[in-house]
Amino acid sequence: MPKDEKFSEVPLTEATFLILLSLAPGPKHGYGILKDVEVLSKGRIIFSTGTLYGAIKRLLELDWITRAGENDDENGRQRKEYILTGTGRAVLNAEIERMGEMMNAARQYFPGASLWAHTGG
Amino acid sequence: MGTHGWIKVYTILLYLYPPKFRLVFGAEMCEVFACVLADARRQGMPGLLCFALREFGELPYNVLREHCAPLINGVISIFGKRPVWAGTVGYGLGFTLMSLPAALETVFPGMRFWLDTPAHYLLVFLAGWLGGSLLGLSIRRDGSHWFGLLGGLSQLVANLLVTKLYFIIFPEGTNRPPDNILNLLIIFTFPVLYGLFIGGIMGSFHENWKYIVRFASFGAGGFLLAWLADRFVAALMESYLLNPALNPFPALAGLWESLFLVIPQLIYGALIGTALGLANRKSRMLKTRLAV
Repeated sequence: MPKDEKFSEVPLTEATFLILLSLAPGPKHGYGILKDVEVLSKGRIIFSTGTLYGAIKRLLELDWITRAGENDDENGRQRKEYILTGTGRAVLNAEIERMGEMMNAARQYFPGASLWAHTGG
Repeated sequence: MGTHGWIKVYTILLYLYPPKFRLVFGAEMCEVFACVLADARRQGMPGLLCFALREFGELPYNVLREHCAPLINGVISIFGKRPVWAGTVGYGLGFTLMSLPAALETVFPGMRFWLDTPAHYLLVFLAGWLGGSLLGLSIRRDGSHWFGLLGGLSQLVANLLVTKLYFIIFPEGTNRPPDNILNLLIIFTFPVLYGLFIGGIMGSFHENWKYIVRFASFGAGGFLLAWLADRFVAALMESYLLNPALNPFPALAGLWESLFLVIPQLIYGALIGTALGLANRKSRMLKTRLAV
């Protein structure tokens, strides 16, 4: 995929970013992603099941994630898992890089901002 | 309502989604729904209320979005992809080639270049062959020469059939404006028929039948758009370029007249080539990896 096409979706929506971030450590099933997004957004974003699978379908179509197979959960049920593809990882990297640049610019122009206390800046 | 009741209701509501979406994600969605329901139950009534509001409140939007997704993806695949530009150049040159004999007559008055059959049909074939060949070479598939041959033959047959049909219905030719709405509609159908035929033949080069439909629809759309653009550009040029009062170099009237013949054809061909080049691009829908 040409570079400009891959990065045409950046900046990502917060929900897309959090789903990709949730899958960065390794494969996860739908419920795992849903709980991760809730934790990562500190409870601000809680997906309904339909919203989550709409987003998963879109990410599958974009080839940013793929099905990793099925794994048993603690109750012995088979669950389909999703994993980041190379493209998905590159998009996530690009978004993190973009956010980092924005943070650096903000630090430079607004050093007194209260948010540095939370980000360690 | 017990857990099974909630899941039963949700399973029924899943039928509101498109069948393909339900087939791929339905079972997973029910599982996740059951897990989130169990979490909500642990939080008591407020948790259950929030859960119900979220799940059922967002449902209409989600259902609508999934039903609209093919349409939206189709629009993205058309406007979000670059066409195979070789098709634009190839068909643009090809259609220009077809208009050259008539254009030369305006530059060299008294000399006759207008080609009657069969030389005219040879040019028609060459126009299609040139566009098809460049498109085929750009696609880089084995046997791209067949793509050129299909382009030439389809152009020739479409020209023969559609032109014959046109003159059967309208014996006066293109000089007489349509006198009623039905005739106007019939005139609009000619470029569509032309495009459907050429696009369908070009699409048959691919093994997948979806490409035949895709090429045919893009061909029909491209020809209709090209026909409208051709009429518009021709009318614009006739109003300004061929108007002695507005023409800055009346001495070059022959040249302007030849441009009047060539430029609309160049635009006509370029638009058709662009449409066929776009048809060859895989849309996101075709690339979807939704293996169950």
